[in-house]
Amino acid sequence: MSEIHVPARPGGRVALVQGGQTFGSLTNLVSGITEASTPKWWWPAFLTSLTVLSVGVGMAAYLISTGIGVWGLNSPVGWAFDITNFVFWIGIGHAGTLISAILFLFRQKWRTSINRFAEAMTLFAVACAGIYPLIHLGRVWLMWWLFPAPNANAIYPNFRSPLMWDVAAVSTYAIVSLLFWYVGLIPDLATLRDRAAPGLRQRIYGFFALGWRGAARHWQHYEMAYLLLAGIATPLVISVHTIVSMDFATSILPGWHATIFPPYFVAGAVFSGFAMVLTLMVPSRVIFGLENIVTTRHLENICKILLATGLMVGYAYSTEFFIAWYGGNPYERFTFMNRAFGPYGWAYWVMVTCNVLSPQIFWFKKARTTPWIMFVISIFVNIGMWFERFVIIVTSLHRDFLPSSWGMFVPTWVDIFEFIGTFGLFFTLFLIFVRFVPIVALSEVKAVLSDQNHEMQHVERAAS
Amino acid sequence: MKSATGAIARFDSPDHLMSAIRTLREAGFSEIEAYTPFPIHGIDEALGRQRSKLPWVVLVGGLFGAISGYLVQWYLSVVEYPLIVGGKPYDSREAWIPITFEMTILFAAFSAIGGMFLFNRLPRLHHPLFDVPTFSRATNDGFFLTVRIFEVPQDRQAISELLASCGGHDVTTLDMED
Amino acid sequence: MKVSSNDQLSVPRPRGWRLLFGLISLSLGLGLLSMLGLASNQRQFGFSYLTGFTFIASLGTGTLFWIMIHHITDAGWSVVLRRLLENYSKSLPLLLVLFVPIVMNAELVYRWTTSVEESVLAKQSWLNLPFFAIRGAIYLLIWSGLAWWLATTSSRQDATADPASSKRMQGASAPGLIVLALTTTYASFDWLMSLEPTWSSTIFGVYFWAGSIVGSLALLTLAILGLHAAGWLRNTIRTEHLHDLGKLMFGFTIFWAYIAFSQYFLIWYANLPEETSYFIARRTGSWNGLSWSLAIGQFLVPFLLLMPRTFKRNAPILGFAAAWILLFHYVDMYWLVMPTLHSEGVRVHWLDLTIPVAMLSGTLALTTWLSLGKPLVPVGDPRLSESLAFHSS
Repeated sequence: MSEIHVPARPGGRVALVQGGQTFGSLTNLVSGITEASTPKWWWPAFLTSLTVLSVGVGMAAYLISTGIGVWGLNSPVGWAFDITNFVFWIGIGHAGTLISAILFLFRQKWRTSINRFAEAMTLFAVACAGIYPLIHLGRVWLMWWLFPAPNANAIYPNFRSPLMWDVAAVSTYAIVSLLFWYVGLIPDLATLRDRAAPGLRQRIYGFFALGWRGAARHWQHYEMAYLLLAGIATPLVISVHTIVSMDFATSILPGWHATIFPPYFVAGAVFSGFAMVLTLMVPSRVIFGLENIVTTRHLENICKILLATGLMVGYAYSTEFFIAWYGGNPYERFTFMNRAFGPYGWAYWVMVTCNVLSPQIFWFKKARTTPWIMFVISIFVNIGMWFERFVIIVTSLHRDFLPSSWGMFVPTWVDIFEFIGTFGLFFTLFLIFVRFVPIVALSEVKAVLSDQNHEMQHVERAAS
Repeated sequence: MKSATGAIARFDSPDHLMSAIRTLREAGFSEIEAYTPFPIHGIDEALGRQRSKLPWVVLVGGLFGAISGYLVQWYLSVVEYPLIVGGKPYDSREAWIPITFEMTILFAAFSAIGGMFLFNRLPRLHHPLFDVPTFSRATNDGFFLTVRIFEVPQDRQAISELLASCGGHDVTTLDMED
Repeated sequence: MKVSSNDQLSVPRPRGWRLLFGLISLSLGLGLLSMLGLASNQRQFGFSYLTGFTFIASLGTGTLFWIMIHHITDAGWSVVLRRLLENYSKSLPLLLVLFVPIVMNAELVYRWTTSVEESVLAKQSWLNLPFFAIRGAIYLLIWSGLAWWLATTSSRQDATADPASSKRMQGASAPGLIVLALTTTYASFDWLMSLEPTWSSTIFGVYFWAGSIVGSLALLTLAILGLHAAGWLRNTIRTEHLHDLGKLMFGFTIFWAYIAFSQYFLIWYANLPEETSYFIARRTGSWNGLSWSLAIGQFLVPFLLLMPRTFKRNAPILGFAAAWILLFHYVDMYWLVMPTLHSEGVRVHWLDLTIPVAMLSGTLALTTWLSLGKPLVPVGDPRLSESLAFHSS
């Protein structure tokens, strides 16, 4: 990959679209990915993912047919892998909404190259997350008890329960994310429709493009809808992980009941999600030849966000520790000492090393601009954030108030393969996405290119 | 649905399109529509359009979600089947807030998207413009402009020349619907 | 694009001196008046003083936060606003002087200084007067140092127009924000949370910070509107910038409400006696009314005022909203401090008015003095043209 000379823009900023792209070449670049014949690596990758997914389906079937005793859960640790994995996946989803909504509101134009990709990641992560509450019910056929309908004794659900809020939050999140993503896709689907030769492909894309023709009137309402959705999705994404944190924080359990949980969980979710964006984006941009759209500047920005959010979770860890001492509650003090130095202490230090220490390398510009370093760190963060949830959940439960009720949690093979199976679901959906849907928000990148051309004209005029 | 005749032209860049819109507006045309692959800054002002009314639709949708979300929880927990759970009062107002909030968001999002489709008269899978052979570039790199002819007493030849003089390519006439 | 030559970019000295004289007289007058309060009711004075001090400190740290966040995000739109923030942040060293009476009155204000309860004595290694004073001094020295370094580096750039200065300030802002986050957190624990030494909340630092960033935005908005009214910077800081300030105030008002609700809600839900005491005190008698007024005044009213686009672009409405937010930010500090003194109900004392006004006019006087005759816009910033041409949407 040769270095491309990029003229400095006003304020010394590096151009977001590089390599002398035009509107037409951008269209070819992005649409070409779905139009070209299936790449050689795709089928093996897809079949592998599908196999892993079927393992997960098998585990779920075994669990539902046999009962949740096949998991390692038992008193006192009644919540372990299931809820850890649920929070892990839903957290990963948050980066997509953050990029599409919050960065949009803050006019961070670099988001346009990665938002489609990250939003898709959100949807698939939420799908993976959604499995756990359902199968953890044990009797999944009674899931309608979660909705405001009377059960056989005419009793309605308890709306005071954080688990009910979770149902409302996660389903709202899934629906709104899907709609937001689809609305963003419409103009690009129209592009694919208009490039397709008459036939089935044209009809399918034509159907999903809903007859979009890019009229100024369309764009006007479309842009307003997008702005409003961004404004709606921003508090939504914060509320989702807030409510997830309340599953724990509304309890009176030391280690769970902490008022900082809502913002702390939101920061952690963004942190884990951006790590996953990086994990997926670093290889994808090379595979699909997107280096001129997803530039080093984009990756560097993600690294900076990782560093910032990593420090935020570090802040929360340290504040919790300080207040555990300062608050003076002996149970609270014990829980935190046990977390760091008890039987699961190794998990705690894995968490601290991965989440707080490893992103510190991003203070160096060299690390922020070297793809393999960021890829490695992003894997560390993914691991660390999984362990964060594991540490919070399991260490708080396994030492009950009475030593006679102490215990340990050990995952069974069903626990482990179910978790691996969710990765199968995630990657299966992801591979379908990269094959059939424009993976870069084409119309938005074109708008960025248009602005960039204007700025260059200003610079040239000023220079001459 | 009455039919009227219009003209369409393609421009190379947003700047050419914008200057053509200005020229046509000065020449007295008012029913102009532009078709572009991405939204162009300032085009609504150039076309003399008002700001979208969509925020009001969303406000109504959000309020509906908030009120109905709260009332469902209140009614079911206080009136329909009151139960004490977790030592909390029947009407645990604080505890209704999360779901009320989520319902606000959900219905606001529905109304944002529904309202956008309604205002845009979408979905509509076919449109006469799709019959114009070059129009497929409107989602690629072409910046199109349509104008209704009968408004000012000018013949087709004159409008075609006017569009071409602004930098328009592929100028053709077409049947415009209302 | 250049800074419009027909715009007044700096405060002309004669009018500046008049403003300065007015602010100093106001500050000294009310300050001396407050001394009478000290003589008559030292305990009331101590609490009123703490309320005023935390109010002013929060405006200073909030301002410092905004300066650094603009640097670290390499923000273009806000360059024209930054000098006003920098000038205000230069008043932070004044807080070092203002902190002395806090230490002197500590035994009347902080129960942990004299308490013999076992649960309080257990924290003595943290909650003791010498360490409290040293910590306070450290926080204030750090804030002052950060503020002065950033402000002077930025002023030097006016002449040199060296883009490297921007890079240096950006580089310093990253560790600066970390230090600021930790120091404000522990400052809020020390100065406000320890008023109830047996109560604690992990989110408390975030709560204080959320209030401070809204309050400082409101102060900035009011300062700009004041400068506009006097005929300065009218073509430089335009409606577009004010619109964005309005959006930020709107957003962070919601953020404050989110944090405040999270804290209240989790404590309400878990219902643990050692935690609920804080909110029982604030939901009893007339304090309940004040709590409601805070929810309405610090959240609902600004939320509705700042939601419509036309309101954010309308100077009188925006100014009203900013003044309102600043007022309720003060009420927020009052709500944090005063229930410890007046558990029987809200008892507003005249000192609660004179002290914050004296302190605010004091910091504004120092700001005015330090900015006299100098440009009110960072004219050497390479992103200035971007900021001048900025269009909000």
